[in-house]
This record gives sequence, structure tokens and C-alpha cells, in this order.
Amino acid sequence: MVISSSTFSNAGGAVSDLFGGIGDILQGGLKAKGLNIQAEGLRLKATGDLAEATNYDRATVLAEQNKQFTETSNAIQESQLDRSNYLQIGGQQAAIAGAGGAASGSALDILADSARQGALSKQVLGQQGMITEAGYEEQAASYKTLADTARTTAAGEQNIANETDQLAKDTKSASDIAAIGSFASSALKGAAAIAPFLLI
Amino acid sequence: MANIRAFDTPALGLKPTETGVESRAATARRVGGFYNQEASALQQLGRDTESLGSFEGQQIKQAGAKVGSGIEAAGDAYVAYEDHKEISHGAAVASDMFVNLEKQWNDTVKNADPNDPSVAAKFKETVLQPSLDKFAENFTTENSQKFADGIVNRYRQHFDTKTAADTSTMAGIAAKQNATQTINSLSSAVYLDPSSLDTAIDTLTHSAGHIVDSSPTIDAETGARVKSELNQKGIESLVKSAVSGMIEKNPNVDLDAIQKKYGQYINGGELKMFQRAAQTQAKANKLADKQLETYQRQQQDYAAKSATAKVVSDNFSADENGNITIKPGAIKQALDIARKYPEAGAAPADTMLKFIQSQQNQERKVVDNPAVVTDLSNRLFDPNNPLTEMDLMRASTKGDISDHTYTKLKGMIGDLETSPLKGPVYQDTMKAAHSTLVLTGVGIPGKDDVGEQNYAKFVQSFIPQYIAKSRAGTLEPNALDVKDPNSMISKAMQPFRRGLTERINDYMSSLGGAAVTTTNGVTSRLYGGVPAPAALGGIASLQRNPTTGEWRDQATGKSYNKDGSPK
Repeated sequence: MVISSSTFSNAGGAVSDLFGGIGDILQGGLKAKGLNIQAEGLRLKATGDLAEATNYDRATVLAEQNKQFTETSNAIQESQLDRSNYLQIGGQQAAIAGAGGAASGSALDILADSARQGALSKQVLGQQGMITEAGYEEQAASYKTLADTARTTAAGEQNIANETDQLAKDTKSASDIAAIGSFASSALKGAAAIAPFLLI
Repeated sequence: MANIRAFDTPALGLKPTETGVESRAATARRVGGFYNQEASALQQLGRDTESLGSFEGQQIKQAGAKVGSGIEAAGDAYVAYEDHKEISHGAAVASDMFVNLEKQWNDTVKNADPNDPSVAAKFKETVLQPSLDKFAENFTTENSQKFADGIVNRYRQHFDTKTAADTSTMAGIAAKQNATQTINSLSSAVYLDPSSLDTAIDTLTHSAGHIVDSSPTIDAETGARVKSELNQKGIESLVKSAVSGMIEKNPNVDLDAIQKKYGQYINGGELKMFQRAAQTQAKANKLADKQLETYQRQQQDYAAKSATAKVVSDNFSADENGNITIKPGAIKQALDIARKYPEAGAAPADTMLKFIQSQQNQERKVVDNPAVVTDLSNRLFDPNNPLTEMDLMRASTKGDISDHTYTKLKGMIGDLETSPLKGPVYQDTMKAAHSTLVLTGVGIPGKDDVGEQNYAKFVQSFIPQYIAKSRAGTLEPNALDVKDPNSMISKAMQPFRRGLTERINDYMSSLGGAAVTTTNGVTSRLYGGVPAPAALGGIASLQRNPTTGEWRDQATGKSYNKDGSPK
């Protein structure tokens, strides 16, 4: 068998592929490690999201309590307004009656107007309370939404982290395949390079 | 008037409260904050998720890319290994395959009919393509397959070219062979009838063109070359055959007309050469005829001699004393030989008939002529003039050898035919034995008849013993060593050895002792009272000029000074 330039070309190829295989393993390992770190980061984020969700839960509870407080406060204010109205109208009746007037004519108009003003004040007070309650209710709903979203995000990030870990494994596998190819190539080229010396 | 007090109405008027409004407004703001906070976390988660998505996607993509690049690298390494392995192995296989395919194609071409145009296609279909397909199957990687494709394409291209070329060449050879048969036939025709030369040339030109043009596998270049060769060489061959035919008929024919008309096919030198060759051939033919005649005569001689030898072996026999008995049928068989071989058989038949006739002479009392016996004995070992039974019969008929000697020498001829002793060793040995037993070269005329008789007796006693031991495998290593007094031959010679004085006396006795003189122990011949110089003592035909005193060998014509030194 003839020793030709391809003999040494094969020997060089064998060495090159041997180191190529080692490089493949190292490259795959580092890439996988990077992905694993990335997955850890995602998990950390998810943990943060979950912590945020917990706080949102607490904020929701507080908003709902504010709504209750507003409802109670409104009821108290309406009661106070009712009393004030009663005192004022009662005063006017007393004044009219004191003046001997009959509850007719102008007196009646005054009383009626007062009654209307009192009722209107009560109605406005009730409406204002409902507005405040609606604000707190909306606030609670918002916090709930935030808490849910934070959990959902955390779960999504957890999944992504898992998938990233899988990517790391796949990357390692791909590198291993490449390394096997390099080592196999190195062995074949090495055999091809040695063959002429063995067959001489 | 009564005093009536007016109703005191308190100040009336409703005062609105801001508690709820402010709470609600604050809640609205805070809830918005919560939602913003969660939204931010969610947005961050979204961003982180998105970031993780892109990170995860990037990491997975990166892992996939890295694993992919690793697999690619490992795969590349594996493929490179497989490439290397398959290409290395494939290269060796490819070279083997190439050698095999080449061999198979060469075998195919070798055994194929050169006139068959389907040889190449069949080879490619049944041999080449299956081999290439099988070769390519073994490569699995892209690069190795490219390598294999390259080999396959190259081999296919190579064999396309090669098979086409070989087929064309083969067709060219076939065309030449086919045309050669035509040329040979026409050459024979013009040789026998030189006047048909022009017609033969037309026929050859016509045939050569059609033979080449009708071949389906021969290409244009090969065709043109073959046609040209056939026309030029074929016509040359025809012209030369015609010229040879003319010369054969008349070796001295005038060839100028031929030279003028067919000068481009034969030149004057060739014509002259042909003529000289024809003249030489005529002489050679005469010699060959004569040689054939001689050969036939020799064959007849040989056959006649063989037949004669058979008649002798079948009909002649001898008792212990050498007395010869001849069956009556021998005469008829001898006459049959003469009839069957009229030229060569007459002499041996005549010799045999004369021998039989002499044997019938009851008064016949023959004693050995020592010179003849010695000559016949010596010829036992002569490769150039070997002793035959015919020679023995002639000598017996002439009365030069006794029946006993005839029978002995005849037996030795038979023994020597089965156990030849005619090599240089035996000749030298027998020469040495002859020198030991016979006095020769003493410088004076004369003859050692006693020595020759002794030598003949020695041969007749030694050779049968030697052959018998040789056949039994009991010969001693020194059997032929004449210098070893204990050797077989020395012991056989012993009874025939003589002292120097005895030998000289025997030699002298052949001259009657009158024309010699002895000075200081040296015996010389006398010529006109003058003793011949010792150096010339061995020359039998010596002559002396009485005026100058010089000497001359009459046989060779050589002259010598008074002292015997050569002139």
C-alpha cells in the first residue's frame, strides 16, 4: 500500500476531530449550564411573582374591608342626617305652631321644602356612599386580578424554566452527538492514516 | 309672624372617587408588566429554542459531516489498499495472460488453414474475449477496474492488430504456397517444353493476381507485395527453368535470344553459369553413371562373395587332420552363383570349381609354400586386403598350401569375422611379433624363409587361443604385450624364437651365400665385387654405376653417392 499525502491528511484530520470532539463536549456543557442559570432566574422571578400575588391578596382583603367600612359609615351619616332633618322640620313646625299659624299656606310650603331638602340630602349622602363603596370594590377586584395574574405569570415562568432546563439537556445531548461524531471520525481517520504502515 | 328658620341644607354634591380608577389603571399597568415579563421569558425561551435548534442541527450536521469524512477517509484508505492489492496482483495475472494468449494465438496460427478467413475472429471470440472477461471480473474497485479496462483495451487492440497482421501474412504465405504450386507445375512444363514459356508467364501472372485478390484476409499492402514477389520471382523461375530445359537438351545452345527477350528476369552471367553448370552436370552424369555401374558391380561382387562363403560353409567340412570333404551339391550351387551374378559371380564360382576339382585329385600331395603361407597369415589382419576363402581356394588349387593349412586359415577367417582383431593394436602387435620372429632389413638381399614359416605357425597357433580366451573373458591384461616375457603372446612366440646367428644363417641360406661379404660382423651384398653401403642394404633393386661408383634405386629412381648418402 502506498504512503501518500492523504495519509498525513488523514492523520491531521484524526487529531483535529479528536480535539473537535472534546470541544463539542465543553461547548455543549457550557451552553447547558447557561440555560440552567437562565432557568434559575426564571424561577426566581416566579417566586417574586408569587410573593407579589400574596401581597395583592392582602390588599384585596383590605379593599373589601374599606368597602364595608364605607357602607357602615354611610349608614351612620344617613342616620345623623335623618336626625338633623327631623330636628329642623320639627323646629319649623314648632315655630309655625307657636305663631299660631296653621299648617297651611306658606307654612306648609316651608315645611314641604324642608322635607324635600332633607330627603335630597339623604339621597346625595347615600349616593356618595355607594360611590365610595364602588371604588373600594373595584380596588379589591383589581388586587385580586393582580394576584391572579402574578400567580399565572409565576406558573408560566416556572414552566418556561422547566423547558429551559430541558433545552439545556437537549443542548448537552446535541453536543454529545457531535462529540461522538468527532471521535468516530477521528478513529476512522486514524485507522486510515495507520493502515499504510501496517500493510506495508 | 313666627320665626321660622329656613332649612339648613348641607352642601350637596357628589364627589367621585379615583380609588377604583387608579387601582384599575395600576392593575392594568402591572398586569401588562406581568404579561410582558412572561412574554419576555417566552421570547427568550423561543430564542433559546431556536438557538438550540440551530445548535443541535449544526452539531448533528457537524457530527454527520465528521463521521462522513471519517468514513470517507477510511473508505479511501480501504479502496487504496484494494486498488493496490488488485492492481499488483492483476499486473502479474495480466502478464501471464498475455504470454498465454500469445502462445495460444501462435499455436492457432501454426495449425490453422492459411486459407481460412475465420481464424482470427474465432480466436477473439472463443479465446481472447473470455480470457479478458474473466480477467476483468477480478477487479472490484474503480481504479483497479480502470486498470483492468486499460489492460483489456490494450490487449484487445494488440490482438486486433496482431491477428490482422498475422492473418494477412498467413494469407500471403498461403497465396505464395498456392502460387508456388502453379510455378512448380509451370516450371516443369517449360523445362520439358521451353517453347511454352510465354504462355506459362501469362498463366502465372493471371493466376497470381486472382489468388491474391480472392483472399478475404490479405490486406492491400501484403497483397501488392505478394503479387510483386510472385510475378518477379515466379517469372524468373519459369525463365530459368526454360533455360535449363534448353541447356539440358543442348548444353551448347546459343542463349543470346533468351537474354534479349527476358533480360529483366535473367542476366548474361546467370545464363553462362547455367550453361557451365549444364556442361558440368553432363560430365557429372557420366561419372554418376559410371559410379553407379561400379557400385552395382561392387554390390554384385559382395553378393557373389557372400553367396560363395555360404556355399563353402554349407558344403565344405574338414576332419581333425584338416582333410577336406565337399558335398556334391556344392558344384551346382557354385554354378548357380555364376548364373545369378554373371559379372561378379563367375570368378568365385570358377575358383570354387577349380578348388573342388583339385580336391578330387587323389594323387594330390601338397606342402606349404612358406612365402604364401606367410602372406596369407599376414593378410588375416590387413584391413585393406583381407584374406578371403577365395584366396585360400586359389592358393590350395595352385598347390601353395596344404589342406591342413587351408582348413586352419579358413577357421581363423571365420573366427576373425565373429571376433575381429583388425584394429591398429592387433596390427601393431602382429607387426612386432613378425619383427621378432622374422629377420628383415639387414641391408642385403635375402629372405628369412624359416622365420616366415615360424611366424605363420605362430599365427596359426596363437590366434585361435587368443580368440578362445577372448570369448571366454579370461584374457590377461598383458596378453598382447610382446615385451613382457610372461605374456600370452610372448609365450606363444617362444617355440619359434631363434638366436641371431641362426637367423642370419637361415637368411643367408636363401641367397646361397655367394654374393655377400661380412666385415666387422656386418654382412653386405656385393655389386661387381663392391659391397653395398650399409645405409643402402635394405634396397632390393639397388644398382651400381661402375664408372662413377654411385648407387641408384631402380624402383624409385633415387640416386646415392658412393658412401650411400642421398644425392
